[in-house]
Amino acid sequence: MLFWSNHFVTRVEDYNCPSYAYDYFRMLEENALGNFRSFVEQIGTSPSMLVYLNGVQNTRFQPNENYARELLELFTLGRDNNYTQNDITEAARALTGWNGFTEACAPITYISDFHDPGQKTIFGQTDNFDYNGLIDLIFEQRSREAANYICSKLYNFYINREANEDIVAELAQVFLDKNFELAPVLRILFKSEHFFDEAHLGGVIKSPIESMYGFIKESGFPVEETVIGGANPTSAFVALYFANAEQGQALFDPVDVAGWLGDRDWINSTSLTNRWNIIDFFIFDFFQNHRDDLIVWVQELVDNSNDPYFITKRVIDYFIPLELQSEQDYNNGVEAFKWEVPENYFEDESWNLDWDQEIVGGQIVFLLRFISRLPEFQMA
Amino acid sequence: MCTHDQDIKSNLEVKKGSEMAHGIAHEKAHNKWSRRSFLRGLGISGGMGMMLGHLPVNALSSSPLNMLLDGGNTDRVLVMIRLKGGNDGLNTLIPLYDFDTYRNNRPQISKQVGDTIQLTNEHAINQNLERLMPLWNNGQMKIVNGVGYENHNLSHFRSSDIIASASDAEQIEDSGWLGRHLNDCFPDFLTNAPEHPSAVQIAGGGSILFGGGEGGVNNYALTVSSPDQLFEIAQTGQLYNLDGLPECTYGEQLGFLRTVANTTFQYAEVIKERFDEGVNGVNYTTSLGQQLALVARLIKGGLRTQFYVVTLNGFDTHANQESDHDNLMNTLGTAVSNFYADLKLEGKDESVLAMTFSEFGRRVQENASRGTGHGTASPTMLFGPSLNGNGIIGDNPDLNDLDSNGNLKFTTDFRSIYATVLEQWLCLDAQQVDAILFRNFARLELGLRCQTVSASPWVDIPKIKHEVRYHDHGRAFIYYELERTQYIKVVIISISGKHLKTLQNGSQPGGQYALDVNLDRQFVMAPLIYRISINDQSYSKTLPLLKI
Repeated sequence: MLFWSNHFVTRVEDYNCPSYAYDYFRMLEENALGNFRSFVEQIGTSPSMLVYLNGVQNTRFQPNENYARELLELFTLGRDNNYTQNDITEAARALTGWNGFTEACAPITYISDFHDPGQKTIFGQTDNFDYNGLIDLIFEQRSREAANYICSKLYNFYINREANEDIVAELAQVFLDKNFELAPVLRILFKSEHFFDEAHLGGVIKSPIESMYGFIKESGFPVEETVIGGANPTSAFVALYFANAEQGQALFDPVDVAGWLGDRDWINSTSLTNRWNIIDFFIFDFFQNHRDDLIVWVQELVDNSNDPYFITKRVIDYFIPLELQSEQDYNNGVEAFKWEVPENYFEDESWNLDWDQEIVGGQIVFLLRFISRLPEFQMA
Repeated sequence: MCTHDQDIKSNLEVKKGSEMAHGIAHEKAHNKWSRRSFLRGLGISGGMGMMLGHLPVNALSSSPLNMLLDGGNTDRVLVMIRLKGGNDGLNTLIPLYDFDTYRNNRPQISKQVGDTIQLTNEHAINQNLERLMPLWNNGQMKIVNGVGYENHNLSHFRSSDIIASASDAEQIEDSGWLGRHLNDCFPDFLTNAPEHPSAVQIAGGGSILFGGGEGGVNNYALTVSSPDQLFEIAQTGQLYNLDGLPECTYGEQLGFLRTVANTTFQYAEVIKERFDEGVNGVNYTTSLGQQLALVARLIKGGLRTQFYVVTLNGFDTHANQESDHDNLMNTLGTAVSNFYADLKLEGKDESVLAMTFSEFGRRVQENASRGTGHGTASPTMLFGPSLNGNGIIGDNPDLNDLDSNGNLKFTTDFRSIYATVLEQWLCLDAQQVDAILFRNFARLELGLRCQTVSASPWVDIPKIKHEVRYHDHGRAFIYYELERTQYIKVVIISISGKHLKTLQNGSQPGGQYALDVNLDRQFVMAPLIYRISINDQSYSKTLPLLKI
């Protein structure tokens, strides 16, 4: 979902209609594992996209090239990937007609009178292409480019910021063979040995939402139902949205049509400190309102071990893609986890996770905070 | 494997929670925490976690006040040595004044006279503290006897908090006594932190000692989990090592993330600088020795940190305590003596005062496992030439007049020691001291003296009362009081120093004010700071919009 909202970008701010947003969202959901070609067809006439990229203003009388450009440059082929300025201009003509804007937030309809029915020459082919005709043309004449582009974007998102050309080529071939069905490609991607290849594990830096939401989900917390804020309650989900915004990732409101640049751009000393502070809120909420569940979750994760080193390592490893660099790194975590409990309770093994729950809860809090501060925690 | 203590000899009912066998009751005894105060001490609930001394990125800039850190009484250092687990005072400072009662209560584990070193007619110390004798003989060591407090709590956690917060046993306080002192010193810490860490703690994570509570910053101390970690930082000048990372995308990404994380850790550079400038002239052994070696080197290297806390673990001697306790005594004595010998090489010993502290002592009567349960009063040891003499201070606790739980009644409130140190070592004025400790505590004759007649520069900072208050279902207001007409500016800034809103800018007559923060919901989770500026002085605190 995150991938597609960053691919077929629209900005909530710009269209500002709940019905459009819902429509967009639903479309992403339905198509995320469906057929890419059909996805492209649908998204181009969705009201959110028509408004955002000015499709709604693109008429035969006053063509607007915005969507045509982005359709090729960002959505299907990739920058300068075998198309020309002329292709864009002609494609814009083919896209005309979706201008039936009656009132704010109402559906946008096709008006044939506003469509330019003339001959257009695109990719060296001449015909009176219309919307569907254009889409067909792209997927016929530039199928290889499209397949390569989409597969390398998927690769970058899920695996590594530097694409491995051979693998991408393999995936692209599958994509073509399966007529642009996404599921088979993703299946291969996720199951492949390559995906799990150590060289790539942890190659991607999490965006803020992944960092925080991932943390919460991984620890099994019902964030949708969680209410935080004591005297000024807010749904955790909403708070998370705003927390993201604070870090520059307002969901469905990216900076520009290219989406967020991602990866290393997420991280600077301010944003990193922000992430820590925000995760602290959630850790605190766990302790305050879900302490018993938190402890049970840890108990299950570690098979009820009472060895502080084992517990620490299990919990740390749960949240990071690869093991920490050294023993000392884990030992620092163990120190945090042991907190104020005097040494002898560990030595004679009288300490365990069923001990005074206030204290054990506190220990887990310390460990979670320690984990959230690890650089490795920001990696996927 | 748990050993079960059974106090079969005593007619007294053993206080529930004082013995290991009581398990969870052991810790729940008088455990009157509030979760809130616990989390404040962690630095979480205010939203400004400062584990390992991470500071707001733009916080570092020198204020005129910080420049005053040279000269006067501000190069004085206080080193606190934590004896974690509850030190057995009676086997540390053996009561010659009532030796028979001592032996009768501890037929197995009491010290024979031949295993002690006599200090006075009434007291001897454990022989394993032998290495301290030169300090004693040169008038650089004192012991305060019978240190404790009313209704001494027997839970490690609760009592540690009480000792750190310097509160009464029934009071829940989420700031530490040193944290409150630092609140006074650095009212604008969040946006104007000093160049050197205010305090360095080795293995004290979670202690509220340097917590400023509602009155200030969540935690002033740079806390590392082990001497190794501090050593790493001091050697490399970084929090995270950038060498030796695997050669692949993962390694590159990790390197990038570590680099950024390193920039958030503001003090690494200055620690490295001072570490490089300093040198250890003595060989240290043991973990405590390692910790003190680092402290000595940083002091000698010129780090302007005034407070250090080091930790010696293992004092919770419920069973077979003799060799354990003796070893700890040996470690303590050796490390402290090395420490002062090292400092002396550059004449730094005179400006360093060290003192031990422990959450409680141990029971007079031994248990059936050749150990002791949690007790109450115990001695505090102080070290350094600044003591100007040796001696045992305070009345001797009466071994025959025990409290209803069979424990020693204290004769000196631990806060008297703190009050004396604040007034006669850090040279704060009496009123300030009593405010920090919430009331007046009798000063002790520890031999400490203030150098000059003038008080410390911290007294000159005008104090204003300010805090965040919540009304109407959690709406935040900044509340403050002015004593007279002032030109005052109040702004809200983000953790990165970005100005968000000005709430007040202009002259106001004396009185009480409440400013409605009124920020958009989008800031609900952002870490925010408010800053009040009056003349040249600024005051800042965190502004949590989520009231927890």
